[in-house]
Amino acid sequence: MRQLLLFSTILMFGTILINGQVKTVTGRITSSEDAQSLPGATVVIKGTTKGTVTDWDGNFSLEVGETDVLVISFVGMQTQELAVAGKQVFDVVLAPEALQVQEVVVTAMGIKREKRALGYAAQDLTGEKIVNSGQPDVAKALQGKIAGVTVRQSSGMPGASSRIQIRGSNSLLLSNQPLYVVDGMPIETETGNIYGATTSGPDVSSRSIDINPDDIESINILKGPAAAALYGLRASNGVIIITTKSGKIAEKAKQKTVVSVNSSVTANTISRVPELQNKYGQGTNGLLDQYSPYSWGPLIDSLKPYQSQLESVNPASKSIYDFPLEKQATNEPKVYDNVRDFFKTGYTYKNSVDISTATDLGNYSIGMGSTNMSGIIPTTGMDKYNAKFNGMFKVHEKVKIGASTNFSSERIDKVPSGNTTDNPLFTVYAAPRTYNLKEKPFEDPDNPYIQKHYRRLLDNPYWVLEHNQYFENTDRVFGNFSFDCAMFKWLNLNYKIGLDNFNTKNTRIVSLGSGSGRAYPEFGIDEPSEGYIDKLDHTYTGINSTFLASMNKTFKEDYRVDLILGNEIYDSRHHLLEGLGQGMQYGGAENIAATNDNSSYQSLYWKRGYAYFGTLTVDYKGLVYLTPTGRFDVVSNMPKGNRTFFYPSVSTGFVLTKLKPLENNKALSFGKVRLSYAMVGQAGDLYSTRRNYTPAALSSGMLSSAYLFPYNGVAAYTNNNVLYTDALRPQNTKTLEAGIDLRFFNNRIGIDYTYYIANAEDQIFRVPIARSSGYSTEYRNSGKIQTRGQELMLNLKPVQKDDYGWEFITNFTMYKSVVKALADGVERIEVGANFTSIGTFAYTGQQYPVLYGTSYMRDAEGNVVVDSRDSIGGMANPYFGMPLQGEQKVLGKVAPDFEIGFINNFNYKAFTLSVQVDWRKGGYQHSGLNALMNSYGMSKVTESREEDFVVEGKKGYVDESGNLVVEGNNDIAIKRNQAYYNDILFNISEADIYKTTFVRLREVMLMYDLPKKWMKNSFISTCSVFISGHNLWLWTEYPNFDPEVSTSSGNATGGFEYVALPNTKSYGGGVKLTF
Amino acid sequence: MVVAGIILSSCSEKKFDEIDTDPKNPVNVPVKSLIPSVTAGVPYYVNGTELAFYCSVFSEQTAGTYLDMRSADRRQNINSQLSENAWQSLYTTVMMDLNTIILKGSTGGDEEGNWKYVGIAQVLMAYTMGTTTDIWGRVPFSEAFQGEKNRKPKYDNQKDIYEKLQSMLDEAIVNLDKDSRQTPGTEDMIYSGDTEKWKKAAYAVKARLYNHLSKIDPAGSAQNALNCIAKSFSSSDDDLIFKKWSGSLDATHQNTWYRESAERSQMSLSLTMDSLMLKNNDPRLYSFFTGTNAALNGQSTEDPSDRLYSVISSNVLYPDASLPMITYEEIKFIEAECNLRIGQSNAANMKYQHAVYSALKRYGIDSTEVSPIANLTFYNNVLKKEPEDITVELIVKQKYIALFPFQSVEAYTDWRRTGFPKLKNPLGNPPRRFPYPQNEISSNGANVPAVVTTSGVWWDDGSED
Repeated sequence: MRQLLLFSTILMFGTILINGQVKTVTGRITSSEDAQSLPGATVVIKGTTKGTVTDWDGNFSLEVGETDVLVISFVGMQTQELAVAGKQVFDVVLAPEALQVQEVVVTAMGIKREKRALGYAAQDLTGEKIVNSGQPDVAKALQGKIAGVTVRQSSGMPGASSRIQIRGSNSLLLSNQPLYVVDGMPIETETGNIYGATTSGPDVSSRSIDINPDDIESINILKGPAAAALYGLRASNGVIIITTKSGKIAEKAKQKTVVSVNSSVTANTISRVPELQNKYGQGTNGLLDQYSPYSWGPLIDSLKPYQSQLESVNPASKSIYDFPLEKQATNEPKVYDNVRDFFKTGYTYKNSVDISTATDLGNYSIGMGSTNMSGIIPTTGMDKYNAKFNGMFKVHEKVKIGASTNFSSERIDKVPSGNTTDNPLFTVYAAPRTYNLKEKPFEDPDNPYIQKHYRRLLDNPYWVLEHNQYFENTDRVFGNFSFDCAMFKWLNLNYKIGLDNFNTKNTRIVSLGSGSGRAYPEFGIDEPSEGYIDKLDHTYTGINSTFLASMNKTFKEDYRVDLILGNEIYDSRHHLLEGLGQGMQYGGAENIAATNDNSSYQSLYWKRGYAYFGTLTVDYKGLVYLTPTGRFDVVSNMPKGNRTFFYPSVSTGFVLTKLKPLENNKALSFGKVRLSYAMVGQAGDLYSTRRNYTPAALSSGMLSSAYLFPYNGVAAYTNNNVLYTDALRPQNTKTLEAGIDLRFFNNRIGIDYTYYIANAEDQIFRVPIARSSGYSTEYRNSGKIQTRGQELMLNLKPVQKDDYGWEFITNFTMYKSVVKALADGVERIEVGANFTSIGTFAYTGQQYPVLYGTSYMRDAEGNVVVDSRDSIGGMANPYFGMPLQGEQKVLGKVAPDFEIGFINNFNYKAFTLSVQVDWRKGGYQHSGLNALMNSYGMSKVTESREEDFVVEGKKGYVDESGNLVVEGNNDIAIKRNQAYYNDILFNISEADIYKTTFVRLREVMLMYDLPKKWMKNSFISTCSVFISGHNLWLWTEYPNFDPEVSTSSGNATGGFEYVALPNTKSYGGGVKLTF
Repeated sequence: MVVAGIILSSCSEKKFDEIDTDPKNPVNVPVKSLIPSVTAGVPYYVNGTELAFYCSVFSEQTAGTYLDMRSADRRQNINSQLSENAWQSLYTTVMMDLNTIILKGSTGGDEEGNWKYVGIAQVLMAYTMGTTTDIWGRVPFSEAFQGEKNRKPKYDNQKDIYEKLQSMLDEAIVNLDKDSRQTPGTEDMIYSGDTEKWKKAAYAVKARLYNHLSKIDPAGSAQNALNCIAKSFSSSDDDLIFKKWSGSLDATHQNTWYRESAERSQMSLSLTMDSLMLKNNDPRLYSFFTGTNAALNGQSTEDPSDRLYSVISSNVLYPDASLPMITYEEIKFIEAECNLRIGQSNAANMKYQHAVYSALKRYGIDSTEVSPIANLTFYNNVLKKEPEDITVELIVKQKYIALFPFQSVEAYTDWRRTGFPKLKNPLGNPPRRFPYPQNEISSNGANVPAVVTTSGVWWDDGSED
């Protein structure tokens, strides 16, 4: 970069005539950062245009007068003014500018650019900020820190999946996730499209977790397509560029070797415990029923100790129920805290060490780290180990070779979430208020594979933890070799080849005796299942090769031109091998060989592509920058003969403060407007261009498992119910982006604002067709999403003194993705896996996505209508005065109105305090867990069940021909009893749609740098200690649970919750050392 | 140069075609590989899942006491969502595959001359499409299953479909006798390739379909049915019945009704069934149900743990309980009913007795247990009949019990055809046809007939809509 600046500055000042002066002074200019010389720095006599620039070694000489003042400046450095005053030799050390308006950022394809030259928004974050967040997953660490970036997490469990999205949604059903690029090579982080969206089962961790936050030097986010255009098809949703630590750390510290050690410990607890009613006990309709799963029984105060159902289920069967007397739990009529009993405090221990070394021949950095977590649910946890190497060697003055490798190994233990009978939380949250879940035996003492539970359909949570296993083992290595040759002054060649390889082994062992069906021989009903073992082996191999030729030239002094031409080839293979063993031969079996009926499945997801691309930057006097780009993409996963696409973009930046009237303005330190337009495409799913057959499986929405083939040695295929044709074209997003970047009062105030419109047309999705055609859907192009959004980064430094300061950063994100069209006759399509009564949909004319489900019956004015019939068919109507159920309709949008992250950094002497507050406003989620807890009579709101209540609205009924008859204002007093919550509201999804608005204290960190004098006689050079907290405080209207967790995945993430695993809050501390 | 070389060799169109080929989902498969899923899929989707569950509570063979079945009984959610899954499975899975087998194996298909497979597929197609039109009335058939060639198939009249199915079954009988390129074996999960049995099944389906026209053409339908019955099942060994369930506790391959009872248990003993059997002291009552706590259809209290009402017992629902599609006793009941319709009371009585004994035998009850000494009430009420005592009501009520629980679709059809048994739901009668699914309304709206679910199908009231 400095070389480039040298050229330009020589050209700018080279022609200045030097008039006769008194004397010639000389000097050398160096950087305070690394003590290296600064070639191309300008030295000008104040008040004149006379001056010079430094040579390759930072030396200059200039004829000056005794009274002259030299103005010495360099891009990105603080300008210095020095009086000549008799001096002959000047050794000038320039310090970097406090706020790097001219900072250099890594853009697409690893190309470094001055931030001022960009015609689009880019925002970066130092590795330190990621580490300080305390999150083991990079994606989660970005929460609230980048304008335009939204992060969603499934839960606070160790290794829980997260989802990051930049600038809303461009795709209905294709991926909306950004591309991750580490040290110049794209890596695979999204596995959701491989596993498919689900609402139940053990969560699948996001592969962004393989990156160790401690290894990160910086993250730069390319938000819009103009920024990412050079990556083509793969980057239609933005790019996250991660640069790992290198030996430059040592260079900067002017040390041969820098060793840094970070160590921390954190305690995690459940972030929110639901508020429960404390008045009513087990039973139904106000009566005690020791078999009931509900808490709709009598007042606890009126109860005598009663025999718990466990002992009374089958008194004849002594072997099962013959417990020692002291263990025979009769139910004391009091409330039990089953929720708090179940959860515990989890701990996270993080340790990392990084060794950076710099020599004349090159530099390298070696890092190692470990993260050991135990979750808030017993048995859950994560053990993660990372190692990495990043090095560069100068093999020749002009030739550098480099290597970067990252290794990670993880084991994550989890429990299933969502709508599955082995989700332990169903009964933790819903067990009757007077039922002592923890103290009851959960298994037969003689045979632990006879599970004991009051529910026939669901597993005992303690039994699940004891006998089932859910874990994921991943080993991963990714990295690249690079070759860099500065062939001529104007030509640089760079070649990089990278490999990304991981293997994940997912294991789910559902033990003998689990699942639906408890021993209820008295009813002649079923035994529990013999369980199953499901092992999935997922191997990914990605290869990426890029070649770049960078050229630059200056024309007529004022124009500087950079041209980069490149080629990229990539190949990506996911290979999945699944073994499923049904029916264990004995309890505790862990090998598929010990099952009665086993089958295996295999899939390969393979794609390959290549591209030619180019980008040209024209810089006119640092005033105007114009950058057109173009990329030809050829991909395997589009129809034959239609695999080639071209995508252009153009961006321009206009630096206002380079205009004469605004130059050297005291108030406005820097100002730029920018404008860009880009087109970028997205290819369809793999194998989607030809009709095919698929392995047969028979399934029903009313049964938990499908009838699978092969069975009994018979394999079977069936017509794929998706119709594939060769008429597919790539989906296309056109984005117009405009922005302004202003800095005032020597960068004390910074404002960076962006507005954009993205039109994503020719959406590729499974368009529903009449099923009588033999297909459910046709995979084709149709429909359009339009996203309009705004981003604002506000950076204030209200206090900036030597000893203390206050920095206040605001990241504001606001966007609306609207479904402009789907397909003819198609009003809505499902976005994720759904329940029939509520789901996440793309709906024409609505924001994307929306919740769609059963609603309250409403009259023409929108009033809720309750049932006015006191009897039906001659029998009393138990729902007299209760709301009628209406049609299925749109119930709310999932995306929030806006999200803001407020970050405060205070420093006082050696103390630094960082506080991040996140505010999300609007957006809706359906809370299945709240619906469940209401219908089971558990939640606090059900405590008023005996009070008279009149539903606000009208009364009426639906007549025989299906018309609503309204009979006036509702005046019917009801009790909000079991029938109200269980039969009526539970079936009206609208009743449990809540705003996810929240304000939360996301992060607090107090750090203290120990005085250097304390370490004077030791090998330690710096030492900091810190305490930190995460999610310490939450304000929300969302009832009982954390609005940030959800059970849905993929593009449906965030709107749909059904017995999700909880979020956590954490607090801890640690130490950072360097030596 | 190097780059260009790599691209030429590894990124050619041919290589990309190879890469873009899904190893899991082939672009072509032989009919032999399609037969297993249809021979299991027809019983699964027609007799084993949602369609059958809904028909069970609509016909009041059971009462819905939990979740969706309770709603159906309460006449809630009887809307275009109700039949979405069933319609999808029938059209895009079962019948689509059957149609593919017929096309592939017939003249002009890529496995031309695989006639025995074609014959099996035609029998199952007639069985499935027959049920489909019985449930919904007018449905797409002549223009269905054509993919992008016809995205909006027209809806055929039921009358035309019935005619087409009879001729398809005639073709099936011919095809099953022809020499075939391949001979079906274990991949036929119903008869393991026994084409003689498939021919008998073809006649059984013909007889059933003819008998459905009892309201439209009482005498003709009876005569036609009787002609077919002669060539149909000669014992319950010939039953069209699915037996390939797993007896082990492998939940995936267990009888679907059994799975439903283990996972959700939405259905319980209905008052209709209870009183019908109680009145006759039917020995099957205590073997069918766990007790005699019956729910009145439409008025049940929610009963998730089966505490309040008796449910179907483990004598009937067990992991590998066979799933009948058409049984020998059903054919005998049809024979009795048809004979009665053409005035042959003697024959009707004989066939009726035969049918009842066969039905009892299925549950291991031999004639001594229903003798006057052992069970006088049952003997008097059910068995001791003179030719003049034989009525449609008597036949259909016993058939109703014989169809319990797996052939609820046929019980629902019989109720619509004959009005028996009298239903008890105080909220009124069930729909006389299922609503069309929302997907068809959205994607093929112009062709979907505008009908209300209270109006009967063609063989019910003589009008198509």
